[in-house]
Amino acid sequence: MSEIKLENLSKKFGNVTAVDNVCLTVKEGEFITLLGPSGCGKTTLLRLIAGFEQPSSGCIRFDEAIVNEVPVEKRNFGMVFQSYALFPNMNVEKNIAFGLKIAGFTAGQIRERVKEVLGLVKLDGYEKRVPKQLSGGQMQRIALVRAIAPRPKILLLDEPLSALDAKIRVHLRTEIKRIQKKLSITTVYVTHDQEEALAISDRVVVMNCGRIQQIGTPVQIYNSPVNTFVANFVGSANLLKVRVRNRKCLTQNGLELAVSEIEGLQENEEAMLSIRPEFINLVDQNTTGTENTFAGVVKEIEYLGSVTRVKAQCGSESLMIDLKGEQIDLLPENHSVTIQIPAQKIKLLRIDNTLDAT
Amino acid sequence: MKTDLWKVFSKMLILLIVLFYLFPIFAIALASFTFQWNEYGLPIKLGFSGYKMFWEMGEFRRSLWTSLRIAPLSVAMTIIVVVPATYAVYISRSRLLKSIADVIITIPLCLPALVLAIGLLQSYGSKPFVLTGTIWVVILGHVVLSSPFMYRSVLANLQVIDTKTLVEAAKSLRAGSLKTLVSVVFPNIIPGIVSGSLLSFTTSFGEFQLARMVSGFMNQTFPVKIWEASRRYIRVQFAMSFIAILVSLIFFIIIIISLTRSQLKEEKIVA
Repeated sequence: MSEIKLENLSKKFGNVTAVDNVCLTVKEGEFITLLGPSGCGKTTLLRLIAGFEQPSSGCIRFDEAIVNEVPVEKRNFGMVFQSYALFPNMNVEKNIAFGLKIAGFTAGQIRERVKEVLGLVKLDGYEKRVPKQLSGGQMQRIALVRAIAPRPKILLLDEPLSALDAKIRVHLRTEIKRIQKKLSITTVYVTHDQEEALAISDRVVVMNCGRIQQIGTPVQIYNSPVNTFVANFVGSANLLKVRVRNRKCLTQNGLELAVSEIEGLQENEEAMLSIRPEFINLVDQNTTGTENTFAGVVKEIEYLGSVTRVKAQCGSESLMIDLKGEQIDLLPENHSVTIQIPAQKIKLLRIDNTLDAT
Repeated sequence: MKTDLWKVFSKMLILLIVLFYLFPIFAIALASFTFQWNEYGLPIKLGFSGYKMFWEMGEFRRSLWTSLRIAPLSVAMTIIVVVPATYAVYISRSRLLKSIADVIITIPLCLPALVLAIGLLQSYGSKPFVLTGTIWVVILGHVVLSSPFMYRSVLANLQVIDTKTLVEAAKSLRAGSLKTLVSVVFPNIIPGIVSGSLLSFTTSFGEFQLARMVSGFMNQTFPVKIWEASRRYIRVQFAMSFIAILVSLIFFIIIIISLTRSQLKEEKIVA
């Protein structure tokens, strides 16, 4: 197993900076996910680690040794691609044996190892199938075990589940996580799907515009986003521009909100207030008077199955509110409601003009 | 009722189109076995005289062997020259190189073969490269003429199977460049090479303009001789035309069978 260290890594394509001064350490056996919208540089970063791209500046270390100049085939990692990339001219057994043969396994060892890894993804007996005869999910599982069969020190996955159906995606990500844990192999996983990132990672690296926005555990990323981009990209958030007044927050439209955490912000300073839609409550009309309650009107209702997303107008602010299934019956459109925003769930974020919230 | 009528109509239309293509072939086949015609051009006496004359007159018979040597050699040379070049263009990251290659390789499609022939005579007719009068100058010309077909079909094949990612996968499994080419790239572009070869073969076997200009006396190709026969020996002309159709057909069938057989082999594994 191996540690990956990226030091001030940058990659430019012409005058476009795809990866901008990235510093990151992936610890031995750690599962790290690079998360971000398309074009944020996450795939380029992965390809730099693999050696498919050469960095413009900075350095990549595997276990302290600089590998910038080491060609792809000498770096000793396994990789899984979005398009599976199984060799169409070989059956499952030969696909898996390909890397094993190069790694110097004997014929007997190869047979044994192929059997062993197929068992790992419960595809025993699939040795003689050719890729054409496999479903997408099966192909990706074969691609996964083909990558890990020669026991590489690092596993890289480039949006491995993006081409699959929603159900299989959820099933397969659990499987990837289980196998990764079992082998405790250092893993870098690229995805644009925030739910996937939160579900499987030890730590998540949120990227935008080639830069790292935040590194943290899934809980940290979701509960304590450091800027508006992260707050908005991971999960959804209501973002309101506010000004600090008397240790409270005043929105541009005059709503006054009590918050529990305000340190670091000066009186009269502008900030971005973030509140997740699932933390906002709809309460009885007569509870007015408690903290952060406002009158509002239901504008739109979107039924999403496990939750219902309500868009409510509160003065001139529009708020997203997620309600559990049983609460929706009371809510016809244009119905007046009372909205309560718990102060301890409000996060205040510094306004950073260089970052575009998408 | 209306849809039924439409179905009948569309079937008739397809039949008509098929007949339109098959009629000339049928006409040649019939004419090649005809000894005597009536005033409407219909056969009144059948026979093999055309084939007999073709066989007995050495110059015609020899031209078939010449073409049957030139065509496979052209195909082989086209494969050797164009396939690696196509791969190099495909794998290159330079857009400029790609567009230049695209243009250059397409030129033979827009250029009259006659012009190419004049170019070949000018280039290989004097020292130090004297190739005129040998079959090699014809082969060179045919390689140029069939390059666009090979290039297009191999390039399409490379793109369809997403060769770039396959190469990256092979490298991530620690395969060197040669191993990647031999075990991953080449086996997966065989269908593209085969269909390119099919087009190359028929291009070479049926090519007239260039061969007429450059082949000289000793190595006249089959189409050139068909043209000559058409002016002197009508029966031989029909016999040779039908032979040309048969050769192309046989080549085509061999290719189709070899392709479907490799597919059948895959399917057997399931059963």
